[in-house]
Amino acid sequence: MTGSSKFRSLAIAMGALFVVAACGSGGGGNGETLAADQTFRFGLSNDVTSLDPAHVDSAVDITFLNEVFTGLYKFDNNLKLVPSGATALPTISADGLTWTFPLRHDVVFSNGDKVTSADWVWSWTRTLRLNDAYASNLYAIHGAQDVANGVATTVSGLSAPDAYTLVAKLDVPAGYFLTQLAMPTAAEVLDQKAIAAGGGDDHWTENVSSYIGSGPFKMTARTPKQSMDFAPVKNWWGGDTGKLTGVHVDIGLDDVSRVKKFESGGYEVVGMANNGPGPDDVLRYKNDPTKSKLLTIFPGARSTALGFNFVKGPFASKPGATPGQDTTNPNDPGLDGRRAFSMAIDRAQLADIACAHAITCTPATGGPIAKGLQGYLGDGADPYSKFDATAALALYKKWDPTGSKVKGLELRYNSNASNDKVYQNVQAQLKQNLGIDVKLAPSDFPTLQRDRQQKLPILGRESWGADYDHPQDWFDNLFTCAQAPIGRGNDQAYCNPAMDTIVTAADAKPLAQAVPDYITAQKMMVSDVVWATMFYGTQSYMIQSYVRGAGYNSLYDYNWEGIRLLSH
Amino acid sequence: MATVVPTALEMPEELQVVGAGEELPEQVTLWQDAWRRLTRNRMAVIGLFIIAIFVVTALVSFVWTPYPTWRQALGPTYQGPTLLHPFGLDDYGRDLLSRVMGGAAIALGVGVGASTLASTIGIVLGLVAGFYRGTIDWGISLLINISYGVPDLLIALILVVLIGRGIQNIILAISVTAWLGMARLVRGQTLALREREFVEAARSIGTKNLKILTRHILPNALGPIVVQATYLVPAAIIFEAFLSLLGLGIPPPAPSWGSMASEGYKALQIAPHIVLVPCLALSLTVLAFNWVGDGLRDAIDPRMRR
Repeated sequence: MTGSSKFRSLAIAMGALFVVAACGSGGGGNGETLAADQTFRFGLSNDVTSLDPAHVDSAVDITFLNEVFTGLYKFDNNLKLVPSGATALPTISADGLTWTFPLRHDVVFSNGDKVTSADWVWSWTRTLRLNDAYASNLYAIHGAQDVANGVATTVSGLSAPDAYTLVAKLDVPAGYFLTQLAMPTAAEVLDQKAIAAGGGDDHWTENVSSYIGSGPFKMTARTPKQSMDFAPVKNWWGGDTGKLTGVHVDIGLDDVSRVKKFESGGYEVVGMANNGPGPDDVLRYKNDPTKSKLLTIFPGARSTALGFNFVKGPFASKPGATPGQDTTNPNDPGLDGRRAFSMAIDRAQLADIACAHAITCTPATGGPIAKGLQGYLGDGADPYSKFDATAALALYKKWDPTGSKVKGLELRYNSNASNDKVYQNVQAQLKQNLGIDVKLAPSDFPTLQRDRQQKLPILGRESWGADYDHPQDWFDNLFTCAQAPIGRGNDQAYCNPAMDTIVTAADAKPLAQAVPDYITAQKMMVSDVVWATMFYGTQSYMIQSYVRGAGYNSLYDYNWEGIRLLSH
Repeated sequence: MATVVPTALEMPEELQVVGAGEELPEQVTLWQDAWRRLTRNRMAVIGLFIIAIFVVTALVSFVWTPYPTWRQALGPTYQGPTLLHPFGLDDYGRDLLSRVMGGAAIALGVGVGASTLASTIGIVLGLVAGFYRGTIDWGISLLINISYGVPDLLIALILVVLIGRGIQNIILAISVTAWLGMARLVRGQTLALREREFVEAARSIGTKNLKILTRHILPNALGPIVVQATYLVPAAIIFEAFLSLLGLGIPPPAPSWGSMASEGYKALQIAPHIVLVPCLALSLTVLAFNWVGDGLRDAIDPRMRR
């Protein structure tokens, strides 16, 4: 060995030692020194609604399902769709109807059971059989709605030609289907044996021994309405589960209490699972040079609006129409009223007052689909979002010269600290700018939701947080004629067949080609003022200075696998 | 110093005889004497002064406030006191001075309204129970004792939830529990007064019960009743503020002092004036009524006479 080769060998050895030292015990890579205790803690106001992927119905629940279960695809921290249980993107037939998914061979549940295509077929069929909030994510498959409606027990369009291939035949081409499958809800794979052992559909989520998924984390303890604990799955088939050794979630602490606990060192984060700090605390942190470093505001994918009833009351375009019927009307008697109300709301003032100086939300000027998402119309694209008190008053006086149309008008919303502030401001603005007294009618959310689906509110709060980044999520859940009948999600009963035609065509196309169509459809809605969209949400996170990798990507929390706690 | 002599109030008018030509010391009525004593009580006078300001403010607020109490975005939210807004702005950018003025009207309405309603219920039931005794007394006393066993806040909360949050409903909810003390007081007074000679005399000449109650017993029990009613006013104001603090008081945007404090407490660290201003108004008013109540009690109680 020559002198230079000796030196080279020594340098390599030293380099190797350095790498081992940096990445070994106590190191987090990139020169990070990790804390000895890698337990990540945060709190929730209320318990999860459901931990069953077939029943999940809120952003809070989705946070946990995202870590415990696996779908064919998932979103990374940048909202990029990547394969998870599948090895690659599906092969789609020329007619767009047959989707073939190649599955990974190494996927196992946290109890060691192997995952095969039969598990995917069984899981999706079960979701459709239970037919809860997100079952509609699978409705594109031929025969899915027969199972959902209880007239079939198997999904005729779903098959498993071999143990690691899954084939879905769709009724019509659906460009949005892939995005729906990546959402961590209805399309997750479940362990049939674990569910049976855990007491069946209604009970398997109650015990950690039967609450089995195939994600990077598993639940290790749960006391309903008190706490949940999670731990990484050892030797997870998907690879590295990150640095966290545990996740502890307290339940039943309001926003003020969560911030207090954060400040006393009890939490690493306030904001996970859609449980952010209150606006007053956000403002306090924003105004404090030291604390402001712990505050991060992420764009949210939520729009909040005033919704107008299209079949009942003074704003109706076709008064007396049955919800689900065509509501287009060239002599729309409610149009001026809807436009006047929308223009009478100074969204900048609203965001200033109700959103801690526009920190927790931003004024909405680009239509219902929130800024930053596919299909957003662009800043200022909604002409009726522009505040113009004079024009609004003139239009209102023309529409309702005697004030009789709005006599006794109620504004329905679900009460909480944030909404109270929003709608008290809207009430004050309508009084100041239009001279009308709108009575606030707050209620709990289930009551409002029930009444909205019955199409009872004449004027009410509407708010939608995108499930996934695709305009179809907005149109097919909120605005099409199919959703207008009583009991469905188009609360305004707005039904415009011309818009539906555009949306149906867009739904069949790949996203990039579909967006212009969705924009055309959205402009029709903006012109009709189905919603007076008021603001787009943001998500505030308080993150301790020693935490790395925690955050939000407009739709979901960052994956836990990337979170780590530095020595502090 | 005037000498207090038994007044005509204490005997039936049928039996009143005026001694002709008799030289009597200066005669003053019980109320004249009470007023004199009250005005000599410094704290009571201060209390009266504050109440006068409170009442005038409340009345003025019906026709004028610097800004409409509901109007928002008058300036930066949470702004502290300035020349334009001496009490500052709240978290909606509303003028706190205007809202405190508006709040005075609500406090006055609730305080006086609840006190009047509760006193009326208490006086009627107390008079009937004390005068008729027997089964009626047993029944009313049982009702009072049972009602005392149930937390008044619980009853008020249930009522507000059932009947809604309007000002009349709040007054009703407060009165439903506030009458108990008055009823007990009036019953005790009536039990004592019904045995007095002037009542016996009235009864002996055939005076009807209703007249005895309203013309002889009630007027002679009026002193303690007035004191008790005075204490009921601040109690009702506090109760309403507490209901508002719980979110069950007067619905927004009405400027109840309780709801103002409730809305401001979350921002206590960045804008303490939002809580301090309504709390100060509330404390001063309650203190003033209590001072006047104490003064009235001292002025009317014969044992305090020198």
